[in-house]
Amino acid sequence: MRRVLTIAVTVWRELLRRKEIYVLLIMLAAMLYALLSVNIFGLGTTARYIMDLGLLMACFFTLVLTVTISSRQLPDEEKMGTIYPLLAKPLTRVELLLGKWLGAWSIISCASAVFYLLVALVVRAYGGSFEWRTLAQGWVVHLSGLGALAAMGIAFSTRMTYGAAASMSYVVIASSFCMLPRIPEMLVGLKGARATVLSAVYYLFPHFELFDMRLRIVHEWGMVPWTSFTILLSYGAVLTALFLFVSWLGYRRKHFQRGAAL
Amino acid sequence: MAAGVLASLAALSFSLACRLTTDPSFTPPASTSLLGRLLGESRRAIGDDLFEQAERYFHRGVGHSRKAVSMGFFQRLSDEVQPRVPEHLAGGDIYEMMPWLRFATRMDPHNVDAYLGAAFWVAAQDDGHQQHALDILSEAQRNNPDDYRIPLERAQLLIHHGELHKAARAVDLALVMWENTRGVDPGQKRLDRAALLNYRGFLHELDGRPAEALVCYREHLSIRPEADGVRQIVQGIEQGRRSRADAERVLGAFMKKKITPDEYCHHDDDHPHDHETAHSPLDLSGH
Repeated sequence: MRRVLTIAVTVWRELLRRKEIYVLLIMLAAMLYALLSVNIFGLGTTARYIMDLGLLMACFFTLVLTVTISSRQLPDEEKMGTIYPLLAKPLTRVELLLGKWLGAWSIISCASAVFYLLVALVVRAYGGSFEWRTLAQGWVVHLSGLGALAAMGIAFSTRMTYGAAASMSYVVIASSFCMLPRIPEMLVGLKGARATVLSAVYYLFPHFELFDMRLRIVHEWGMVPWTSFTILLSYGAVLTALFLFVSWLGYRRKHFQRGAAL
Repeated sequence: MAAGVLASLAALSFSLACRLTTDPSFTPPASTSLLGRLLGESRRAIGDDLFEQAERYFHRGVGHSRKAVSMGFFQRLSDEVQPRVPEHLAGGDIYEMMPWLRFATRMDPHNVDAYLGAAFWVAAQDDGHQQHALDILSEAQRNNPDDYRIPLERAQLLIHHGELHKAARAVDLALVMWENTRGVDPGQKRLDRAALLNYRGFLHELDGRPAEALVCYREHLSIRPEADGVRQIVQGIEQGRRSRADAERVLGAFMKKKITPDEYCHHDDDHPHDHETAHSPLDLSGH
């Protein structure tokens, strides 16, 4: 476990050095400021849409961060040749993968906490109302989804370049947000091979859209029942474990050649 | 040689430019803003989407429901996370959909529905922002000078606030514009004309001109023969049973009437609605 934590700390150091998170935080703050200054039909502005767009941007930024960070960890090590001294140390490949995942997920969790908090404070300062408990629940569910997403990025990157792994991750995310929720509607009146294929896609693809509780937070529908909350977290944990297992399968016997990835 | 060719090309370009700018069929682009140039016609689609977002806000974030096959675990979990049964906003919360209506009109200034929705809900609030609503309609009229729906909404607003002469002018303007308005569903347009005639007849009644009111009501009946309420009013005026005092009583009730979100909602298949109430909230019988 200590070795896993050491790897995670190196991921943290690298990300803090790159300053991407600060840039996104500044962008979020600028966007919130722009929204606050909008005057709606001479009536001033309202808080709910600021909450809505603020959380949307927070989710989007964390999603981009997750994909970027998780997909580049292994390819960067290979590209720079730092994978060799790493593997020469008393460190198993499982520990390397777990450390990379833990580092990526933990820093993204902190970043998303800051993003959520910024949005919540701005909305509250502006007189908007929302339930803190629902917001906290939504954040935890969001983190669960980000954990699975980070594991997926790492799984793709074990056998792909950074660009390809990131692209694949975006394709899966876009599918789960845009296509999967529509499949039950598309299946109405559909039979045969097309119905089978669509059903297979529905059950096999990861449902990242389930980890998005913005509707409940923004429109004050209240918290998700605790049973469903537990199921969501369990689903996130299963997806994460599954992707990390796939990562291990793809990485355990991978051969490296100096200069091959350059 | 080259100079000659260049001179000829310059002369050709100049004459073509003169022709393009003086030809009566030449019209400058509707929008010269950066946004307009960048997005072109896709502004309309984006504007419609923003208008739909306002509708979703009106239903507390829940969109239109469609038929779907039951997909077991994932769908049940999704239903738990994302509420599916719409509820209406009420009171001051109605303002929460205004930003989206504003963005819709900014994106597509020809989105009359967005303007009408904004003006309607601004005026319907308890604290009454009639002037704001009228300002919204003025902007809508500037951007859509030929659309009868804007003076129709203005007339409803003015009647609600007892400004009858201004309302009569707005109705007359709407009736003139009605013929040339494009892009409105024919069935809706027919209903709107009936509503306009209703308002005009009613305003004539209030002005003490029952003969002119009768003309309007009869034309209304030619459009909507099933309108029994209007038929009874026609009979009442013809038989001398209905007087100006009756119309004033109806006006009094109309001015006190509060708008409820449930009354406004008239789009979703999953909750029943009444189009006529939405377009002609004036109950002439005074019941």
